Amino acid sequence: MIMPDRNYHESSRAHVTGAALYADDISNIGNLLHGCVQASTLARGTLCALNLERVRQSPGVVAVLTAADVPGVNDLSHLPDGGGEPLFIEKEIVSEGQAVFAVIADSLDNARQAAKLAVVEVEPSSAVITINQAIDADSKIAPSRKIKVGDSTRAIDNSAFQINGSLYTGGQEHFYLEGQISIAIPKESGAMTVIASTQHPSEIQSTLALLLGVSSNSVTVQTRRIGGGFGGKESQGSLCAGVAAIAAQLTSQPVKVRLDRDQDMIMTGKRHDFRIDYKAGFDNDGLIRGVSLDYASRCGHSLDQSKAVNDRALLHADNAYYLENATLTSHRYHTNTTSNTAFRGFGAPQGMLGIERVIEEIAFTLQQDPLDIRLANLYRTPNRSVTPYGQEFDSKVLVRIIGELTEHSEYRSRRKKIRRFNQGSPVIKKGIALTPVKFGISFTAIHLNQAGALLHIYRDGSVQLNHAGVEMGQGLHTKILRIVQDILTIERSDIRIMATNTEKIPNTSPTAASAATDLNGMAAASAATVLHDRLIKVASHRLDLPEAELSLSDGFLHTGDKPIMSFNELVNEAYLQRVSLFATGFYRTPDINFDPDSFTGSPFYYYANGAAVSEVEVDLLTGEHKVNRVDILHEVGQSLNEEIDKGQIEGGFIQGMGWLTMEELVWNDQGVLQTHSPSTYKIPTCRERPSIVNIDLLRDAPNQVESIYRSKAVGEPPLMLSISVLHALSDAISSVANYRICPQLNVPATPEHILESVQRVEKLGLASV
Amino acid sequence: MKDVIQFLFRGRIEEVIQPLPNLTVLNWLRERKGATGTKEGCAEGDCGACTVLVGSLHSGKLEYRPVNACIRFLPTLDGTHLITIEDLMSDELLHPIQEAMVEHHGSQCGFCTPGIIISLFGLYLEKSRSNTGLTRKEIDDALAGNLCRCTGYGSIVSAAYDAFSSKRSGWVEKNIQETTSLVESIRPKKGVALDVHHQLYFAPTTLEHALGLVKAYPDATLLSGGTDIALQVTKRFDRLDKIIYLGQIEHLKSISKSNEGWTLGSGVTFSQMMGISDQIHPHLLATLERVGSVQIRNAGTIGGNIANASPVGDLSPLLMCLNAVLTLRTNEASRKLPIEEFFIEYGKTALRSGELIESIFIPRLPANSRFSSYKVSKRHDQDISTLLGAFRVDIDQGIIIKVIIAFGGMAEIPKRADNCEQALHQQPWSQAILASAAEQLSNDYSPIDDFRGSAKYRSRVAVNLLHRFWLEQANPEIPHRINYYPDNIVNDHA
Ligand SMILES: Cc1cc2nc3c(=O)[nH]c(=O)nc-3n(C[C@H](O)[C@H](O)[C@H](O)COP(=O)(O)OP(=O)(O)OC[C@H]3O[C@@H](n4cnc5c(N)ncnc54)[C@H](O)[C@@H]3O)c2cc1C
Ligand code: FES
Ligand code: FES
Repeated sequence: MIMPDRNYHESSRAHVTGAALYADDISNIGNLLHGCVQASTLARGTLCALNLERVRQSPGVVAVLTAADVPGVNDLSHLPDGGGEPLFIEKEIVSEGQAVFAVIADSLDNARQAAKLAVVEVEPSSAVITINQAIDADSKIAPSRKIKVGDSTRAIDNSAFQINGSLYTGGQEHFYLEGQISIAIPKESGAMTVIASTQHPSEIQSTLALLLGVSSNSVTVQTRRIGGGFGGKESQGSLCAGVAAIAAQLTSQPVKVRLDRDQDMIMTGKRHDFRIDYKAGFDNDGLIRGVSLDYASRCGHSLDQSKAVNDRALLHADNAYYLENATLTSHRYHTNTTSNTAFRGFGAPQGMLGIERVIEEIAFTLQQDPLDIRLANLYRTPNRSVTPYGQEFDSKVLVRIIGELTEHSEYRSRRKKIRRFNQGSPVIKKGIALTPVKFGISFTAIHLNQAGALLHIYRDGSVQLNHAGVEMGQGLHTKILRIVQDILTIERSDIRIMATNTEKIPNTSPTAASAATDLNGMAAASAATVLHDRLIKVASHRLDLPEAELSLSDGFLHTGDKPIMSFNELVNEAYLQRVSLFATGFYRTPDINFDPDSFTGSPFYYYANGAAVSEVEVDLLTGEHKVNRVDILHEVGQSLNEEIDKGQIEGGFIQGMGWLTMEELVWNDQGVLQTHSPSTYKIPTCRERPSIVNIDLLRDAPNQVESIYRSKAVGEPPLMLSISVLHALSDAISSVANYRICPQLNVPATPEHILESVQRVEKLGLASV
Repeated sequence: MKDVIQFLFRGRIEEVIQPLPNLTVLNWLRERKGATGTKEGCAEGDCGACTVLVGSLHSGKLEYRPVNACIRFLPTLDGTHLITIEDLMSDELLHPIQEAMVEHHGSQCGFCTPGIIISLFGLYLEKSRSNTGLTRKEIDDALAGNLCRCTGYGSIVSAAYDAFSSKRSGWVEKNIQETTSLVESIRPKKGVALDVHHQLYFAPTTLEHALGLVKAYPDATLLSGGTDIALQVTKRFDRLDKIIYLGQIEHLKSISKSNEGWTLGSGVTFSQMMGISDQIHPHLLATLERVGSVQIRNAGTIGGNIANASPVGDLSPLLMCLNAVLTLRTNEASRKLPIEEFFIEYGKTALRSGELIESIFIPRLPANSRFSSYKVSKRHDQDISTLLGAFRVDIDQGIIIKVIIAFGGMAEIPKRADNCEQALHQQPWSQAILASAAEQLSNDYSPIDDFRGSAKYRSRVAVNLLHRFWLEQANPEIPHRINYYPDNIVNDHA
């Protein structure tokens, strides 16, 4: 049998044997009821009448819930300024997929059958669906934000060349393999325990407290693991949890609410889609003199996290480039569509697309390799190192990454080879591109940059580890186990990682913003260090030796190299000496500040950098394409676990590639989502994985700031490495007019969009000959 | 007839008396057996999280094939061996695939993992019978029906290479003799008849019996692989009150060959057809491989695909080009019908009440035939066609003496391009003639806009596909299709 090495995912053995339990797998709950939520099929209108008589009469039905049954406040928005997002529709319908009512029955099948019997009368009214409709209607959901440095208008006008255009990027469905689910179990005296698939147990807790009209100390939320989140379970879990908890309170029985896949895709929020209008001025050297980027995003029917997402988009509008004169504006639009939410990258990917398009346009205008335009515009210390929002960015690492990657990937020679290939290949065209990523690490809502841990050592030396982060596949627990293990010097099997639980760590931040290891790792290290030091003190007392001569290693107390007693004996000794064997750890990220009103400050503790070269081939007859090869060089500081980090890089890249090339959300004119299941919404399969994937971690590059082990966050940044695929496609397409015309490819680059772009370039190419 | 089904499960014979006809294997496992290793990710056959292995006897040999438990009704397991993720370990020892998945970090959130492992295990069993090394294409094929949102697949691919290089076998492989005789012992000799909560289910074992039932219950749903029909239950939450399951009828699964051509029983699965498609025409495979996924092709039958009469069904345009003829049977009579006459309008076929598709005859292509077909979809694998074009010309001394062009996705039924065909008939086989004939396609089809593609896109690509047909025949040395597996990439298992 293989011994699970401490680097393997802590749950891997359970994963591969089917023993890992997800919420829906928990079967030992007596009297469990099942809920089915019925959603609005109308995008906008009024709920005139709701006849649920036949639903109530249907076999197995125990309860039917509507807005009137919410004991507390019928709101999920969880925002101090009131986002206005009701759990159940009261009268006004503002989006397809809003919950109208829920049926609670003795089986899921009975609940579903009953739900079909409802008579719902609605009066439709005109809806705002697309981003362009929203812009025309000026339906802002929040005030616009602007970053202004220098004078972009003048700079653009005074430049030798000007370009302008627009770019559309679609949204993205998270498609976590495990759908939204919660189980609420009523406890005595009005308390409620909820097992939820969520990235944010504390938010579920406080939302439930509001919904139920109780205080937070009555609600416990726990999460052992979730089957993927990607941002989609940051705020979106409250729907299932809310219905389950209200039903459990009403029936005094445990209730499970699990959305089926279609409901999940229709009802829950997605990545924001954007229209980006750009204008730029530049001279012969390719340097951007002035740029204006206008971001209009579709936020959907409620605010949710849209402000923060759009803030992050603005904060990444520069990507890796120094912008001397820039006007960066973000408009946030209300639409009658599902309320868009967090998704890996959190607005930054969309933010970067704009400036990367500008770079591309410059390259086409000047007939240069886009890489050279990128290099020309990169941040450089000392004179070109301040971001539009005022934070210093030291680009040394990024410059090194691009240099090394250009060389290792043989970008320059491959680019030439590809051009030769294309000359002899009328139908299949290849393309190549290198794009960089600079991603700011920290929550821009400064208060979220905190975490806690709680460590228990029992008398037999076994340890329970609690911290505030949720394991969603990113390997967080594996990394944190390693940290604690290193400090206490015991085997991983002696430490049990516990379900994330609001009972253990209160007021947790969401597991998001790539920061979970940074924050929780530090908190756990601090708790473990406290206990370590206490144990040393105990030993010093017992052995009458100075603390400095004592140390823990390999599960033994040592003086010098000599083992004296085992960790377990030492623990027991501490117990007998009446020394506390549990400790909390707390961490807050230092040195960050941000003023969201003036949009200035240093919101990021550090930046994570990377770059990728992608090579593609495109079929000019159908617009189909394939990514043949990708080379990635990415920075993770001093890695806590190289395999896990590489897994995050590859997973993020492929997920980003899906967003940019094939995942297409289509709403009809009435605002009804047409692509709400995997049969119509396509995420990458194994075959989409490029034939060659070379992923390298940047060596000898410890984090410059004090982070856990000098590592760097890795969850989100790699997603944006996939922008290289979009640009490689563009390169391939532009070959049809001898690389003279910018294809202005929109996202996602589906076969249809690629073919459209090919035709456009061909036409313009002929016209300009 | 009996009202109990028997199948091998966890090493013993499981007997389920009066199983609910609409109960899926997935729900039975998870809800009745507490076997929660098999997951639900979509309940429609698209994500693979529910993948299980079903072993059944084919001419005395036990063959295991991955299928989607979410769209498979429990009673159809009668006489089979069901293997789930929980079965793979033996004596606390992980199967080589499980071990490699741990070592290569093949799981992140782990939710897709059981399904992925079962799919790879299906391939593992298949490969254990051959001596060839594992290729990247085989991995991609095996996993085409398994979505993973976390890993990007790289770690899974490396795990597969690693596991397959191990020669160690698990208990399934070791016990195949014993298991075969156990499965032999429960081979359904008698048909099944169930009446549970007013839901009727029949699984006859002979065609005659089936035809009698079809006559007696003309409103019953015919069930073959269930990859279309089961979705009514798992997605629309409808109930199928009367089911006649055709999957236990050996006759319908047979393939026979004569001098004139091939006769395929309507119950032949896509996987089975792929096994002989090269004999019919070497270009068939490339399109058949793109129907659904391994799991779907293991369950989905050609009869079901035709009867379903979907405008985007992939088989019909191919069969039209091949001049296939259907044999339709009732209790009393049998008739033959060229396939294009089967489709009348959207949702309407020539199938009469009391009738079923017995077989499909595919005549041998003459030596002067040129044939190709192209499926176009947003994603290469497990995607429904935006459109599919199938082309055939028979050429005699440079003149097109026979031409068939058929498209899926361009009309409300799979349909031939009459005008375009006419423009080509008896004309020289030349680029200019083809280009001008292609203009006729706009008279043949007025496709629709939908989320798979606009009418404009479909029309444009239809023309381009005809062009590709020409290019590939005229200039075979230049690449005209995307090359997924360039020669210089043997595998990426560094
Ligand atoms: C995830 C997924 C992916 C898919 N991908 C594709 C694809 O790429 N291309 C494609 O073409 N299809 C695809 N399909 C559709 C489906 O798999 C095929 O149409 C399949 O061939 C149907 O066969 P079946 O045996 O499963 O049919 P069933 O679902 O059993 O039956 C389908 C219909 O045919 C009738 N029927 C079945 N057998 C007979 C018979 N002998 N005589 C008369 N009527 C009969 C049934 O009553 C029913 O109306 C996909 C389906 C799924 C779920
Ligand atoms: S649950 Fe997705 S394929 Fe069965
Ligand atoms: S590991 Fe999460 S979906 Fe595959």
